[in-house]
Amino acid sequence: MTKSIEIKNLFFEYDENLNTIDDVSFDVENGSYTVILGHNGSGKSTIAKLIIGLLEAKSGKIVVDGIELNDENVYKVRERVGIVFQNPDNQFIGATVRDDIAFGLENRCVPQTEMDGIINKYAKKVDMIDFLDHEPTKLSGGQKQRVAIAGILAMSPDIIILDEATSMLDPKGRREINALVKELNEETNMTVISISHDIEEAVNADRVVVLNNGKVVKDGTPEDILTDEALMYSLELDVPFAYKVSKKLAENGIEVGKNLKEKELIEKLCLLNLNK
Amino acid sequence: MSIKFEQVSHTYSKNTPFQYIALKDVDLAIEKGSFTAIIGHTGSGKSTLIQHINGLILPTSGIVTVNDFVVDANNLPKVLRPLRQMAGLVFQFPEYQLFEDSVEKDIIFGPKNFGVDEETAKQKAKEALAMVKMDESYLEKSPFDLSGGQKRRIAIAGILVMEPDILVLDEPTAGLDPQGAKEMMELFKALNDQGKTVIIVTHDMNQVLNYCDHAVVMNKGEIIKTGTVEEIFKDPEYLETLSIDLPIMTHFIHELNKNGFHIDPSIKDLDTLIKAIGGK
Repeated sequence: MTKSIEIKNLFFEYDENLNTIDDVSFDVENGSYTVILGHNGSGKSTIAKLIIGLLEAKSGKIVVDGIELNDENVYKVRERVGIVFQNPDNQFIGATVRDDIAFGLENRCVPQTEMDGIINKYAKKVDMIDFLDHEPTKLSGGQKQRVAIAGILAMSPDIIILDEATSMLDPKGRREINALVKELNEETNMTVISISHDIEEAVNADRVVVLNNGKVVKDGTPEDILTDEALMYSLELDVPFAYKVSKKLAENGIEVGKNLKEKELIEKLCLLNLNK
Repeated sequence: MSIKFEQVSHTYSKNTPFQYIALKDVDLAIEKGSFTAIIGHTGSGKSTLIQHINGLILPTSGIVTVNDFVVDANNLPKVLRPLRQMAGLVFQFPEYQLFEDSVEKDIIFGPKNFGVDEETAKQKAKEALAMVKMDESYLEKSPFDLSGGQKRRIAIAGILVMEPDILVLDEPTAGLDPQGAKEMMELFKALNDQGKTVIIVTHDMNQVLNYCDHAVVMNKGEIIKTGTVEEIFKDPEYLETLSIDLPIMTHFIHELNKNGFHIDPSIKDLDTLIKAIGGK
């Protein structure tokens, strides 16, 4: 499998002598869905900004789709990577939702005749089709995040980085957006890197990278990482609810295995003859 | 009765092509000392509703009463001063409102504007900082050198320093990690226990279950249900139609019950749940 992103021995400091990113190395497979977990201040967003060249590393190497990030190549890299920031107010340009989604397309010289179709398609996907003529600044926080995501998806990036991009959505809205991203990931092979605290999202990822104090402390499958309670709690993160219940049941004499997904746990419980 | 909405409507950009009716004929009463959650789909009018409580926006029609203070379409900003002291509003991402070069200056900005002398304001700033569990060493630091969670605490201290009776919070834990969110919710619970009325907009139904006593459900600019938290979560099918989730625990119990279990859906803690499932 080819690599979408290769990061080697990356260092970055905002303040002298304090490495915000401290010797980070990891690769992201083409077409994979990776969740980067870590508490506030662990360096997650900094890595995102380094990947698209918004910040410049002190040392180390970043390669995106085979292109090494440097002053010369930064625009080539940005053509391939779409990023949605946590606070959508930081990335609105247009006077209406339609204009805002169109902005990225105009920059990529998409013909006018195709543009409307693309805008409608993605506005519909994020459930904002009724708001195309509204001012982005007057929308609610969650609606703004939907528009910001549509604006990036419309450009069909090879790689999308979501930096807590659904933090203001209600849980159902968040699940819908996560499902949309997952669908595009599977159908179009778009590589997804999602920076998140959302343990329930991490359950469905291909891979989880855990950051703490600017270092990768663990890298593996959701099963490896999310069941490592000592690690999760030491990083002030939670473990999935289904896993908590499974473990507590085992302590109380009911063996159901290590379940990360609620559906599996319920199925197993139904097979046991309990207090129904 | 602490807060009362009577037939309150609000239209943004009235008489322009962007006209948008965000609240429609809302009636609502919030008891003094309660901890009330405002829930609903994004864009259902939650933020618009709560911004009426301190007169940040005025009703297009109808009346809002906060304690004895009456807010209607004709209030002038000057008249609203006592209301702004009574009801403190914390926005989404309050850390973006920090602007001074030291934490102390940022916190005392509000009280000084309300005519409190500098010495008293500084004393109050220390108390407010203690309330958000930060020590005095932060007073001289620049708020911009702090982490996101710390910035948010400072911004909240800047509201608490005004000693409001009513604390209105718009998604105060959005973007915080689970530990940070938990500490924040425990802070609000402690303030509520001290007698403050707390109103919180949140999408996290686990927070509603664990901390709040009442909930208000909004949909398309209208209030469609109010009640105790238990009453609100009783009917999962109805909530589903409104795009509102159940708390993870309540959801799990309902799923088990669909499969033949008979577990009390108002259970809030894991140990009780395990016993109900059949653990020893």
